[in-house]
Parts: sequence; structure tokens; C-alpha cells
Amino acid sequence: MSSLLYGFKQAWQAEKLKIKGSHILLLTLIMGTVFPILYTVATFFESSFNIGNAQDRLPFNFFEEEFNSSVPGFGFFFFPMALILLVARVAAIEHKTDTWKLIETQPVSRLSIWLVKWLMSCLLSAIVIFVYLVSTILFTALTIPIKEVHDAATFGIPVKHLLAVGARLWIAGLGLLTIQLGVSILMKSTVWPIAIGVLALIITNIAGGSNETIASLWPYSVTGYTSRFPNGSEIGAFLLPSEWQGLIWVLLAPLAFTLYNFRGYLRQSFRFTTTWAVSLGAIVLLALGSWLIQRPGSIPLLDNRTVIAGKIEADKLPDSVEIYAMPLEFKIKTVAVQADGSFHAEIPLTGSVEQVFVRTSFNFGIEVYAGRGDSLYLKWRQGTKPGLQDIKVMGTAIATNQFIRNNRNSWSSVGYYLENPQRLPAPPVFYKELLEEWQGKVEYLGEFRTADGFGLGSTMRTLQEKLISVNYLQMAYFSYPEKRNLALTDTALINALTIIKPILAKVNDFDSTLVGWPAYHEFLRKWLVKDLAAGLDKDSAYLAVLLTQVPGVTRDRLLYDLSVSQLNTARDSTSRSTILSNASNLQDQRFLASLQQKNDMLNRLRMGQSAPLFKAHTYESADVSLDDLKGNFVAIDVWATWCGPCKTQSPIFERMAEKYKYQPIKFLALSVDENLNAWSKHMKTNASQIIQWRAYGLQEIRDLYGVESIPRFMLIDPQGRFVNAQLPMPDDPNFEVLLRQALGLKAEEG
Amino acid sequence: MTSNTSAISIENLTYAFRQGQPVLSNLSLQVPQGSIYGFLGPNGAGKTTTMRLLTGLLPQQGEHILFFGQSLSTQLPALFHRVGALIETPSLYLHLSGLDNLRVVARLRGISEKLAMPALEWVRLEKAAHKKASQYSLGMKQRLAIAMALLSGPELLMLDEPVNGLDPAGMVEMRELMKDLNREKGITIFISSHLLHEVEKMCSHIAIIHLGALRFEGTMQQLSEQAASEKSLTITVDEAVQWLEKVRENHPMAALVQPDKIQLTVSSRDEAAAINRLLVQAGAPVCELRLHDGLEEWFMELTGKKSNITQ
Repeated sequence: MSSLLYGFKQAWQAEKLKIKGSHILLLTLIMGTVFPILYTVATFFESSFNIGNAQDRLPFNFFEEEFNSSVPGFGFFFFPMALILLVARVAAIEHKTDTWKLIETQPVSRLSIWLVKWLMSCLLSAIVIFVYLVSTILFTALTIPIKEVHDAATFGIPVKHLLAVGARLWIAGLGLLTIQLGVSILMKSTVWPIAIGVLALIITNIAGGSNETIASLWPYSVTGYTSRFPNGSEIGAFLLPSEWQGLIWVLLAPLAFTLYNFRGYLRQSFRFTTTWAVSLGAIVLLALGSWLIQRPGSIPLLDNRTVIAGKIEADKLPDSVEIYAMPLEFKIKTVAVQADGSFHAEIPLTGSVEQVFVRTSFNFGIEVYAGRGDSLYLKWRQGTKPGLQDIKVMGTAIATNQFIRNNRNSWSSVGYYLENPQRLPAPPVFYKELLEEWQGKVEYLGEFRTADGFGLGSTMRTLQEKLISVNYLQMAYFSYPEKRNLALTDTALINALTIIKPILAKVNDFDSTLVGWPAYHEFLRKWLVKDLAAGLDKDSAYLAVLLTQVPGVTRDRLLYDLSVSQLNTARDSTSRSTILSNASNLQDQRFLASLQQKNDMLNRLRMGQSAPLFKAHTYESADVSLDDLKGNFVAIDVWATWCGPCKTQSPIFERMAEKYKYQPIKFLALSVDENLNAWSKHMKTNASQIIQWRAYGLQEIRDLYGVESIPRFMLIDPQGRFVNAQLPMPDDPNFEVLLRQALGLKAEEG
Repeated sequence: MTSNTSAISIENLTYAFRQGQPVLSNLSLQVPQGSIYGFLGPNGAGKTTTMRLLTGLLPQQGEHILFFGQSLSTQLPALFHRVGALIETPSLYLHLSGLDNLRVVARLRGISEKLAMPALEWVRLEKAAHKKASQYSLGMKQRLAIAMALLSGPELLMLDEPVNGLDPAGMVEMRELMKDLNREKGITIFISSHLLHEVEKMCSHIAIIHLGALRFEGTMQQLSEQAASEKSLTITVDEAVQWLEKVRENHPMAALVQPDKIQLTVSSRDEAAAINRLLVQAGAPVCELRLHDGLEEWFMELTGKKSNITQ
């Protein structure tokens, strides 16, 4: 070994002198700073959404956030570009007057010569990254006095984070560096290796843009892929699979060295079999390693249990965590939150992928996906403002949850066509494109990986494949014909629809694995009655088809969904009772009870029913009740300080109060703020005709009045009975029309 | 010649870039220590290939080269502690100063960088020490390259066409430098060149190579003797073709070089006179008999440069 590396130290010393005297260090400096400068300049031209009050966001590190949002630009283009240029320069030092033959006739071995070039390139790569990190912080800091910064920002320099990202980028770039060095040395040219490198960079990044496997595999795109995950591993590993991949491309080094050693007489070099054998062995290792790295990872499931655990970080820890089965909102479990914020719930799940809603209160919750055997862990930060939370879902179903949340698969050019009907192509063209897009989406399911390389499990893949298919069938059979005014019986359409047969083959009627997904219900509701003659009641026909099915969970879910949507659109209590009587076919009594409850609520909110009383207080902390306002009409605005849409309606509501202040009507702004301070602060600056109350319990308002979202406007008569529990928004002219009607005023002429 | 003290010893070296087309065939050389050895041959004779093989820039096909009595391949790359080489055009770092070029070599050879300045003085470049090598004239570059080859005081110096591109004054300067090095430091110098008069003026030993094969090896004195013993004779005679057969009776290698010219090699003046007599007696209208003398002529003959022999 020592003779293989003969003169290594001397060669390194000499290399340092050569580099120092060249402009390469300057180039390194430029390559490290050019992107931060461009990025900083660019940020001045984009409008900043990232400003606001401290209470609107969880505290975050300003530098870290800016860095994380800029690092992909560096990773995708500027860093690999810097490597290509620098490595070409390092090799070109010897090309200019063929000083190769000078160093090759010195007491240093060829391996030393090559290795020194490689190590120098690695060092320069590290310098580029270091300069990039420092200049990013510097330029970001320069923008602070000029740009507006969010009040929730903190300004400590995240040294550890920066160094970790830098180290990971450096490692991911080593493969590219090795290959480019090999090419640059072999070609004895300055321009060609750069041209080849840039071409490879562009091609792989374009190909990698539409194919995740390419992006995470090829040495020219792997730094970009890695920079998409600035926070690195979610399971505490130092390197992501893509970084391992970048690293193992270094196994091409023996080949690169062999080609260098024998350049000019490759034809006869095959006699020197050892180096070729080593090169070949390394390439086999590279192939094997890549295969192992690119395989989707998975975490072993629990036997039979399903666990949802986690840890909550908040100023005021909640008492308990509630878990609901979705989309029906059946409560499965309530567990206490420990003093350190942790919680642990074991829940009974039967399906392989189910939606579960986990919440600590009305304001903090998250929908997660789990199946039997899954173990989920939630890292949950909660702010003081309702809904201000940051949740990381980890555990066995990490890939499933990230896939659904990130939804990179959602954009559809076919869907875009449908929204712009004037551009809709003819049926054969449209369906061909639809099929291609569908294929791409289905393929992506296999490509999808989390940062740590976890892929979708086979059940999740099958499920997603079906859901995607449902979506595309919906577009093919219903959206497109509707937009083009075609009937499904038109021959042009019938012929074209044969194109999408592969999609049709994926979806079954009454698929039990899909009943949890509303999109499937919507589809079935049209699909099963698509051949019905025009003019007949489709819902009744659908109901009839459902009732022919074997009673069970699947039929129940479909029947329940149909009933809920019918209830919500029913005009009066008679038609609602018909719906309920149809629903008596439900097997699961919980469904029936739930429908009954909804119906009761709707009945309670009917005109003439007395409005339920709730507990509230004034700014002066006096307890009040709706009874106190009897004798007047009362217009109620349910709102909160944190609710944006509420704030756009409030001024109009106030104008109404001013306009009708001599009429027997009171205007009540009922805050559902949980945070008393936020409300009080708001009150100090707000004096108007409006009565300001704050409800003691948000949950109470929700239960009594069926408030699903705010703002919500209601009108109550002087006897305390509903005139209208679902007033339109004040900016809708109907709001005032209904008001005047109730007050017995003539319609305004306008 | 004693081979165990040879600085370089080549035995039956054959080299082919493509099979069946040898660039060198069965080349054998002995470079005695302390000699200035001229390796002479026209362009394309195989000099540079030999040089590349000697420096390991090309790997041998077999084991045919010994340095200081030991196989070359087992000594690489440590051998370069004892051997300085300059192959073809000077290889310099143009972005570095002359001094830094020397420092690079000093580092590569693991010797003190303080030796750089004296080496520059040796080749009289001390004034240009801090100038970038890219601003050097060709002669300065050549001298710098030699200083780089000489830096660590090698026992053997291998120079490939060291005077290529130098002006006459530069050539003289170079020659004197070589002689000084050999005399004062006892360095064995192996020089390849295609210029006979260059080699003639400074070498103690000489080898001539043509078309990949050795044509001559020996001391300068042996060369002169050999040259003297093989003179080229050109006979100008009308209708030379008719008389060629006559000449070939005693000199089968005689050749027709022009319609009225026959060329052959003789070892002495008497031999030339004898041929003349023979032809005249046979009735040949001999117009002119010219005997070519001198080393240069002989070298040209040997390397087939002068005449276009048609047999």
C-alpha cells in the first residue's frame, strides 16, 4: 500500500502550491457567493407574505427559514455547477502545458497524483459550501433592516443546522465530483468536460423533475434532491438515502483512476488486469449499493394493535387527546396528556388505511392515516392562537401521511382543461391525454419516497391507485361530457371511452376499501345511475341500487352519506322525515343516531323554534344571556379575533347597526375567542353600536347552533325565536333584504 | 562494455502501439555512467517512444529496461529521486513564477525549497525568478525546465530534444551547460536529438536509431572511424542502367539513384579507384566519380534521408 501511495504527502504539498498560485480559490469564492447574492436580490422583487404579528405564528428562526427556502436553488444548480467548474480547473492546471508528464516523472506514484487531485477537489467543494453558508447568513442578515420581518422570528444563527446541511450536500456531491474529475483528467481539455457536465446536469434535472427515481439516483441530480429536505432525516439518521447514493458514486473512482493511468494506450492496458478487476468490482458494488438504497424502506408493523402516541409542546398543555374515526366523526378514544406533554393511545382499527382525527380541543387537531399494526408518533407544537400548530407525523405510516399531506400528485392538466372548457379538445385527444396523465400518477405512487426513503405500502398504493382512478373516471364520464354537452350514449363518446378501459378495470362498484373516501361516494352516486333516462330522480334510483346490496358496513356507509347530503339540502321537516325513514335500512345504529342528531339540530334551528341560551360575558365581565335582549330583534355575528373572513364582514355588519339603530333590533357580535386577552385588546380599540359579548364555551355554541364555521350570522325575533339561523353574509344584498322583511320595512328602492 | 555499471541498459526492447506494427524492434542500448550519451535519429525514428518507455510514461511490454542495474518497473516511481527527466516540450506551470515552478518540483521531490534559487542561478534565470512563466521566452522556458529536472541533483539526466526551438546562441549555451554538469557534478546525461552536429559537439557516446532499430552504438571515436570506413560513392555515367550489373558484381548493394547515377558504399579510396578502372575498361563513359566524406553525410546515408534508393 505504501508503494501505491508513494510520495503522497509531497504531491499534496505541491498541489497546494499550484492551487494557491492559481485563480481557483477566487473562483471558489465566487461560486459560493453568487447564488446568495442573486437570491437576496430576487427577494427584494417578490412581495413578502411572511410578515405578521408574533401571535400569528409559532416562533421560528429567521435565518433557518430563509436558508431552507433558498437551499434547493443551490443544490439543484449552483452547487453542481460549481463542482463541474472547479474540478475542470483542478485538472486543467496540468493540461495547459501537459505538466502531467512533469509530475509523472517525479518520485510520486500515479495513485498519489490522482488521489491528490481528488482530495483537492473535495476540499474545494467543502470551501464552496462553507463560503455559501457564510454568505447566505451575511446577505440574509443584510436584508433584516430593509425588509419587513415576521414578529414571531428569532435571530440566533443556526450554526448546527447550517453545518449539517452543508456536510450532507458535500457528501451528496462527492459522486458528481469523482465523475467530473475522471472526465476532466481523461479529456485533457478545459471546455469539453464542462460542456459534458452542464449537459448531464441539465438532462438529469429535467428527467428528475418528472421522475423521482432519477432525481434521487443520478449523481448530477442527487444534490438537488437532497436539498429538498433541508431538515434531513426524520428518523434521526445522519444521511438520507439520496446522500448515500451521492456518496457511493465515488465507487467509480477506481475506474476513473484506471482510465487516467492508462490513457493514451487503453488498447493494451487490459493486460494490467488488477486495476481493471478492482474497477469492475467497485462498479458491481455501486450497482448493488444503488439497488439497496433505492428500494423503498419500511418500518415493521405492530402485531395487531394500532398506536397513536406523541408529545405536545405548548404554553398550556391540554388535558386530553381525543381520537375520532373519520369521516363519520365517531369518537374512538380519549387519553390523558401526561405532565411532560406526552400521550399514548391504543385504538382498535380494522382496515389497512383509515382516516383518524386526533384533537386536543376544538382548535387543535389533525387528520392522520393509520391502519391495523401502525404506530404513529406526533410531534406537536401548539401556539396560543387557535389553529396555530405544527405537527410532524412519524412512525410506521410516515410515507402514507406525507404522501397525502404533500399531495405533489394533485396537479392535473386534464383538470385544467376542464376548468377552461373553450380549450377542450375532441374526445379521442382528450381521453388519450387523460390516460397518459393517469398512468403518470399511478407510476408516481411507486416512486414516492419520504426523505428517509420510505415508500408507500402495498395497501396504500392499491388504495391510492383506486382513488386516482375514481378521480379520472369522474372526469372522463361526467365532467368532460357535461362541459362538451355530450350524452354518454353518443357514439363519438362511446368509441373514445374505450381508450380509458385500463382505468375502468381498477375500480369496482361497492368497493369496501373505498367507502371511507367521499370522492368515491360522489362518483358512485353518478356512476350507478348514469344510464338512467333523463328526467327521473337519480337519488331515488341510487337509493334503490344501494338497497339491492347485501347489508353491511359498505352499504351502511354509502347509505349514510347519501342521507346526510340529502338532509343538508332538504327544504322542510317533512322531506327530512322521509329521508330518515329511508335510512332505517342502516344496520349500524350509530349511523342512525348520528342522522337523528343532525335532523334534530336542523329542526331546532327552524324558524319559530326558540333559540337556545348560552353562557357569555361582557367586556366588564358581567354574565349575560340572550334573555337580556328580549323585546328586540337580535342579529348575531359569531366571530373570533383570529378569523380573517370575520374581519371582512364586521365593518358591513357595523354599518347595518348604524343604519338601523332606531329600529327595534340589536346587533350582537358574539366572540368565540378562547383567548380572553386577544378579545379584550380588540375591545379596547373598538367602540360602536354593536353589543360585544364573549361566549364562555366555543363547544357550547357549536353544539347548540350547529356552528361548523365562522363567521356565522343569525336573526332572532323579539320573543327569542329563530327568524333565520343561516343568514347570508352581510356583503350579500339578501342579508339586508331579509333584515328589512323581518322588521316589516318596505324593500329599499335601488 | 560492462553492463553492471550502466546507468541505463536496454535489452531487446520491442514496442508496438498496434499489434504487428512495431515502433521499436529489438532495441538494445548501454548508457555508461558518467557519459553524455546522444540518442540520435530522425523524427519518427522512435526516440520519443523510447524516452517515454524509459521514464515509465509508457509501460513496457515485458521487462527490457534496467536503471543502475535494476529493473525499471520495480523502481518506479522512487527512481526519480535519482533521475531527472525532461520530455518533449517544457512542461511548466505558466500561472506560477519561475521560482514557484521550482518550488513545486522541490515539494514533489521532498527536498528543501531553498534549493530553488541556486538552481535558477545555474540556468541564469535569477532575475526572472518572480516573473510568471507565461511571460518567459522559449529559451527561458527551456532553461527553467532544465533547472527543474536538475533541481534535486540527480545522477542521471534524461533530456528529450533539449535544444529544440532554441536560437544558435541558446544552443551553444545549452551545450556548455550540459558539459559543465557532466564535468563538475559527474551527472550522466542521456540526450535525444535529431541533429547530428549538436550531439557530435558534446557527447561522449552515441547511438543512432532509424525506423525503430539501432543502426549504431559506440563512442564518438568509434563513430568517426566507422564513418571513415563507410564512404558513399556516386558514379555519374550515361545510361547508368546498363552499367549497374557490372558494378554489382563486386558491390551487390549498389543502387541506381538517377538515370545517370549509381550509388554504393566503399571502405577506401582504393576501392573507388578499382571500380572506376573496371568500368572504364568495360567501356563505360564515366563522367564523374564522387566520394562523399564526413559524419554528416554518413548519418544522412544511414538514416536514409539523403537518397531515395531504388533498387
